[in-house]
Amino acid sequence: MQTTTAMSDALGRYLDLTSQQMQATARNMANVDTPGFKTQGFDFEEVFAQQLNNSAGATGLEGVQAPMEDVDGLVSRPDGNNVSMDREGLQLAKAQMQFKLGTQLLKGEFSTVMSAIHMDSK
Amino acid sequence: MVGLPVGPGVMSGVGMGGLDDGFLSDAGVAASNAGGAGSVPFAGVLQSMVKETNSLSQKASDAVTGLLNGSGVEVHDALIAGQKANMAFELALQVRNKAVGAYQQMMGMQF
Amino acid sequence: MNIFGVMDISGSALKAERVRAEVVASNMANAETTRTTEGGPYQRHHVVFEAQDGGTFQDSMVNQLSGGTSVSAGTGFKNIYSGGVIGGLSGDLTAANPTPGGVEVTGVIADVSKPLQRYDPSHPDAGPDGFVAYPDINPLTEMVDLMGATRSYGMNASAITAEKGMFNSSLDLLK
Repeated sequence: MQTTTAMSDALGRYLDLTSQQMQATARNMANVDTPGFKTQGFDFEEVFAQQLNNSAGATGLEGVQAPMEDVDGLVSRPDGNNVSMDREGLQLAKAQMQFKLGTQLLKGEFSTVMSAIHMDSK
Repeated sequence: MVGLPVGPGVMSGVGMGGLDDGFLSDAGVAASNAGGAGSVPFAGVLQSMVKETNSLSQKASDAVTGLLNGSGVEVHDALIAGQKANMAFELALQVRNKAVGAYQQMMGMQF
Repeated sequence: MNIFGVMDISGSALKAERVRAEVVASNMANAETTRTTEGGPYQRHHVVFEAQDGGTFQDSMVNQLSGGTSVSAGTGFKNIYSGGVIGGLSGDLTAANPTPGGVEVTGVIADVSKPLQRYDPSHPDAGPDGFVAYPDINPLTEMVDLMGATRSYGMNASAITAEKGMFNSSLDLLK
């Protein structure tokens, strides 16, 4: 019985990826003082598009991990650490807002389906 | 969707011609052109509402997907499209409920 | 612009101002440094900011809105979606990605002005004539620079807060 829509699956993956983004950002922020630590991240849009294409037909929200790569273009300090607090702060704010957006849209999706189910009650 | 088996003749007696004020005026015009009796068959109106809802919700789906992909859709655009689709859906729902209620009421009439 | 394009612009300004503050701090710390690995006294460093364009800002905005085809009211966003991603706008994974409308530090260059000479024959770095070369760094100039960088940083951080507020209030459309 199908009670979910394609949009709610896509939104589920969006929220998954956003929470992974949060974890990566938190990890980077925690390691701002670690000598030799390189900032790790992933390209959100690319991985999201990939997951959408791959998942045609797959159900459920399996925790598919995004591959972590070193972020380039950042300046290294003398101890080898290249974490930029500005970038991490920005990523944190973005991830928070993305999460909020995703949950609101998902709520809207499900409430539409629910009102269709409750069609006859006045 | 419930297709009401009533024709223009019955409906004109109840004065349903005023249904094409404002919304769905093109559906009303098309239906009355086809019917030729100057009134609007209710089945046509409901069908066009369903089509409209469908197309709006497809647009909203595209907009939200574009928003999530980061391909340049603005946040407010996607959310407004979603709300429009939602409202069209609710409207169609209520119209359908009222239509079914009216039908049942009429079917329950004893002659 | 992608969903957070506005924040990326302010983010680029934050990065640039931070680099500027770091350079000022380095100048102030080395104001009396008479020897460096390249020989000679420390040279004062400047930062060079450059506006990132990608054409003009106007062009890139118009490009996105039309997606190359005409925009009709009500289907405008659909055209954007089908027009695809404009290259270079999405993802700030690499800081090397330009943010149209943002700012970028294109270089930290050393000043080529002559060092200050002070007469002190007993100094270990004194030249054969008894003069020691000191960097020509005026602490007042550096402090004013630092104040400028701090102020700009704060303004851009406020801009980001405002942008976050706008986004949150547009989410209220769903309620």
